[in-house]
Amino acid sequence: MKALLTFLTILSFQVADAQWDAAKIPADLKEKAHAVMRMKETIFNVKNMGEATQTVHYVVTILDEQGQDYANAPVFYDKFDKINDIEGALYDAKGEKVKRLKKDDIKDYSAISGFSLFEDHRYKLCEFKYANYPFTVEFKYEITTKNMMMYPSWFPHSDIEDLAIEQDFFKVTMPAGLDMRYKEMNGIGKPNITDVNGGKSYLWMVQNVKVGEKEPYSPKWAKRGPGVLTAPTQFEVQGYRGDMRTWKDLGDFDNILGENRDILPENVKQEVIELTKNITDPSLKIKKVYEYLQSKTRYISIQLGIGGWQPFEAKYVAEKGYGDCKALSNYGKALLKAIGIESHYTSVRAGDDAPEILADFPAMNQFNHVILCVPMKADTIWLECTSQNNPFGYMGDFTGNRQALLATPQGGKLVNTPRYMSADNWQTKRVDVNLAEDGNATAEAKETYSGILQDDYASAMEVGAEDQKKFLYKHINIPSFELNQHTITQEKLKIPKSRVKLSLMVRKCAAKSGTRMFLSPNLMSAVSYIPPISEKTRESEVELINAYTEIDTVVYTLPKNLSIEAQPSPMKIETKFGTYQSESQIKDGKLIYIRKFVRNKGKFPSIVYPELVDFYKKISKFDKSQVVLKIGV
Amino acid sequence: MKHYFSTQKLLLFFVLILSTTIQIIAQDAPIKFGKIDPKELQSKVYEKDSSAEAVVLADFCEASYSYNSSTGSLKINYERIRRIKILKKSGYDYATFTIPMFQSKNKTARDYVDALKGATYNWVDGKMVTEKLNKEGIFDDKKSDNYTVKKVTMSGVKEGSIVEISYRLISDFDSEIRSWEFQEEIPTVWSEYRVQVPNFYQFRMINQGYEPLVINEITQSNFNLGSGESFPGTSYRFAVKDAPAIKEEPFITTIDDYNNKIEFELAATRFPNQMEKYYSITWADFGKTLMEYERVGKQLKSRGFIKDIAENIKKTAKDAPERLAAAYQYIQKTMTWNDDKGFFVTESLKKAHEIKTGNVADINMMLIALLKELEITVDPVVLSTRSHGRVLDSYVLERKFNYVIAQVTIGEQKILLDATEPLLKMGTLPQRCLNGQGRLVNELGGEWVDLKSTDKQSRTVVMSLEMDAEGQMKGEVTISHQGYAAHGERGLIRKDKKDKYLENFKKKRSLWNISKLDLENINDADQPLVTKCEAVISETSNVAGDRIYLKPMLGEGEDENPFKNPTRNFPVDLASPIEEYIIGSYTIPEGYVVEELPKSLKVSLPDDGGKFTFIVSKSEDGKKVGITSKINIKKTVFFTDEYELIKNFFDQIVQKHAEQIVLKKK
Repeated sequence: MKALLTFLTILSFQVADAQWDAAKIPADLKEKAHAVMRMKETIFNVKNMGEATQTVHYVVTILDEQGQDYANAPVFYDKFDKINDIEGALYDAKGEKVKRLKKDDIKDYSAISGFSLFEDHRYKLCEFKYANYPFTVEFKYEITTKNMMMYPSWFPHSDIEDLAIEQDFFKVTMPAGLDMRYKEMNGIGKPNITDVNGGKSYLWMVQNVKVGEKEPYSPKWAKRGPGVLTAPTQFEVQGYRGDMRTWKDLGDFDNILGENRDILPENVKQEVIELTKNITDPSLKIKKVYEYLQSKTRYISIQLGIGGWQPFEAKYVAEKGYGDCKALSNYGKALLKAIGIESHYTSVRAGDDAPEILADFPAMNQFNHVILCVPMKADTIWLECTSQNNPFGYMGDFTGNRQALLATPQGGKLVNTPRYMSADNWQTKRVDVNLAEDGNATAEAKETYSGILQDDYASAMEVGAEDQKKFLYKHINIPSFELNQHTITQEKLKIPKSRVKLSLMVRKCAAKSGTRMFLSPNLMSAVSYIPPISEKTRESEVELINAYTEIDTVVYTLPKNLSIEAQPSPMKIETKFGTYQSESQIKDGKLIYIRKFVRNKGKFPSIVYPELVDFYKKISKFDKSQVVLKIGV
Repeated sequence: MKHYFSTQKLLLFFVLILSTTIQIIAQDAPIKFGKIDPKELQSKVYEKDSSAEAVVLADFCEASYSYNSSTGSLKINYERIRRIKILKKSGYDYATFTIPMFQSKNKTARDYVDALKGATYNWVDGKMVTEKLNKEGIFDDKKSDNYTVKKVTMSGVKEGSIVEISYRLISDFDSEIRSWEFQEEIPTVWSEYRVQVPNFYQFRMINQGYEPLVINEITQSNFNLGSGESFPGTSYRFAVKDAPAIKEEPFITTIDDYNNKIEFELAATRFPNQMEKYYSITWADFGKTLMEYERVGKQLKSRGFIKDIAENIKKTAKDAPERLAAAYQYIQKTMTWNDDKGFFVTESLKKAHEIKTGNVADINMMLIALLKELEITVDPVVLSTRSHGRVLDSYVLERKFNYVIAQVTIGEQKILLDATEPLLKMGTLPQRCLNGQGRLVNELGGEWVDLKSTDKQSRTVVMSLEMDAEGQMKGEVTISHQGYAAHGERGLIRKDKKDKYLENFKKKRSLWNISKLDLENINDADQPLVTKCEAVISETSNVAGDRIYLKPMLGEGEDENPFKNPTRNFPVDLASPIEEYIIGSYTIPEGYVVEELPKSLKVSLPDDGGKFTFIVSKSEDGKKVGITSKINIKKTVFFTDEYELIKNFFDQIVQKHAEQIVLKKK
């Protein structure tokens, strides 16, 4: 370890020999890589509870055009941050310095996320315009931050398919009397801990990492590769002090930020009281208030300074009719309070692709969204306050099926949001098809989507008629058809259902070929995606996120003069990933096709991946099986 | 929606500046801030388009010049009122207004906004309730040093609200009058643009689009520029009524080519006590002007940096064609395009050559410089890429161009060159360049050059397999991509690398059992890109009783019609001709005979626009079946009244490609 630290100290900016000669990169690291991190160090130096400096210094060799992004360094900052220094240098293939980073090479841009109207996030883009491959760039910058809620995380190899690494270090130093917390992820080694001036320093590193492959159906945390999450114990930000050691602490801090912000203007208060005075059932009262909120507000995200974590006051939302997730949830909480119902401001990590909350690692940056939780005697009610259309109490796969942090008066509590299970998530399709002699057909489809399978259709309901049609043309899985009529309706239940009715003209529903017609009876639900098989040994577990069921019944009225020459035999597959059944039968001169597919959820060991591929391959093949009809008996 | 027939029929005209002088009394503005029609406020739906999520009730802007005596400069003031009715929740985004503001690089000129006000109007309990905009709803998003977007969001918005904004944008950019678009993604009831230009400036103007101008006035009048004195000038006034929503569609150049808009371009300045200054009035001037620009024509004069390269080429390449090939290859292989377009060199060709990267101009002007050094006749051709919109020869407008290529003349032969794409055959332009005409520029003035596709998007599939009694097919499939298709595939290989490309090939054919897979001619742009594959394919045949049914395209044919929508508002523009050739030869298993084959078919598009031939046959000994499918689309643009034709054409292909061969046990 000593040697290593010495190496780090020698590595100063003035070293100008041919240390970064691209030829010195080991051949196995270059293989399939577009860029190679020659050395990187990220040092997070905590001064006290309320301030730290982060120093990032790296040297990366760009091997080809696809690695060109590494020639740029975006340095992000906001109101809490001060960029003290940015330096950089460009080296040619031999490692000879071509130029230093100049003022003109640094440009400043806003970094407002797509969903926001306004934020104070910005970045400085340091850019070397150069493309004589291979070449090497070096960047070094230092930022002082006063937002001590957030400690950095370090995932050196998240860009697994492009980047190889010679060395990458991550170091956190803590002053005497202040501890930090950390969590190692995906097999990164233990830190080297040393005592420094009464405080402690933690050092992690990776060395000689080759490029790898992204693996489909990997657990979400595994996708980021080995790394470390860090978090404070006690912290301070913009005059607010908090603790993050337990979920209770974190909830307490939410309460501090939200203190006295749930006060409504008197007229609004009276309005909700009036609105709900004749309702006795508490859950109906809550529903009425939720609908009131939906009709009065819209989502506008403004994130400024501590406002990234602190809700706007309820009064503000009442006046403006808009706010972000924090402001609208807090407003919802205030409205419910006005009619004597207690609810909790709830932090959650939203998104259908969000990694799960690490329950043993309380940290603010595990969350990115706020909802509202109303505890009830029987069933807790959950409210998504940013949507004007969302069914009362429904979370969907945006915020359902995960853990969330309630800020209760007694502090934070980590609880589960609603689970949407196999019985909740399903779709049924009943299609009546009238097949004509030329192989064209008309079809009437009645589809019901339930639970998370209805989410896409629910959003389609919100768009204009033209866009809705485009949505259906994209989602209906038939090679050539015309949509004559359609309706989409939604039952806004706790497990909502979307009902779709379609009137279709299906071109060449059956392929007429001489004296025969070929019909694939699975009209609308053929599996088209098969997980790719890789020649490499799979490393990560296989995760199937959602459980659901699909049931299709397709009834064909056949033209006269047709006889069945061949039809597929009934198929059944049972695996740990799910079951599949399909069969076609003739009944009263009609061809009836029935298909049932049940997908399970769960985590499976990596070795079963080929079985999953095989399962999908079989389904795909059975979905394509055909009935042969002979014309003229 | 209206039908749009052809470019010739587009309502496009150049309005000459009238010579008659009419004294015009200032017209009343079509809307006044805060004066809301209660009927409009109460309405729930826009009758002309019931699917609209919001509708622009009125958008009005008046641009005029004013003189600032303290700086001695002229400014343009844009006074604008924009009023929108929100009809659905999905239209809430229209309650946020954006105002783009620019600042020059040296920060001497900028845009700023004053007199900004806004309001939301709701109909509550039989009367109008107004909520005024305040500061908390206004944000300056400084996107970069030169560009800021002012964002203004209204409060109290509900379904049925009317939102409105009014402001004055003051601009130091006195020689650039902002363009005006009469049409948007939502319908527009009234859109009006007025511009008053003192005779110090002379602007040319373009009006494009399908909607008629219900007001179209150009008159002479006198303006007070704020100094008390009156100056003669020109007044423009244009309005469009009931413009429908306009949205992006696949297979078009750009929606900008179809939108209703008015643009201005500075033609001349005539300030008192100054020389008149002309800005490319004629195409000949345009060429000469470009050649005099420091970062365009002048760059071709300092060629010292590339002398050595030229000398090297001269040593090995003897005649002009050989030198041309060597020069093209040198630039193509040495320079990496940074994806930026333009016909201005970034800094200098010398600099670009040092850093081995640059925009289109850096690369292609460098090619021109090198060719000049090799004494080959070569000129720059500026053009507008497909996504940048069309260039019209009736208007001399510099900013209509965004790209430059080279035209070489060797003897009688003229060749267009673009060296930005490392895997493009010499003499083939990337598809983005195939957009009507380009303008060759030189000291003599220049000429128009057709940017026609010299190549096709072409794909050939040859399948030779043997079937066993279980219906399994074993053999070879060879796919060759030529022309633009090869260029597209090579681009993917370059992006993903060969391994991943082959993986994707397998992914698309996930039920094939592939034992061998190879790629040929990856980097040789003059040769077709060939994918060779040995495989066992079982899912395209079905064994049932005595019979085997075979889908002879083996999944390589057209199984979906690319034209799904029943109608079309804009022409279909394919950019280049399409050719697809699929040949299959299958040995049938011992003990089986052919019972039935799909019928052969020939379909043509009118005027030799395209052809589809489908032939299935069996060998004399009955042991083999052969299939040939040939699609050849020569025509690249299909107007809306021809949409049905191309759609049906593909329907027939899809249908034929789905047919099957029936084999029966003897």
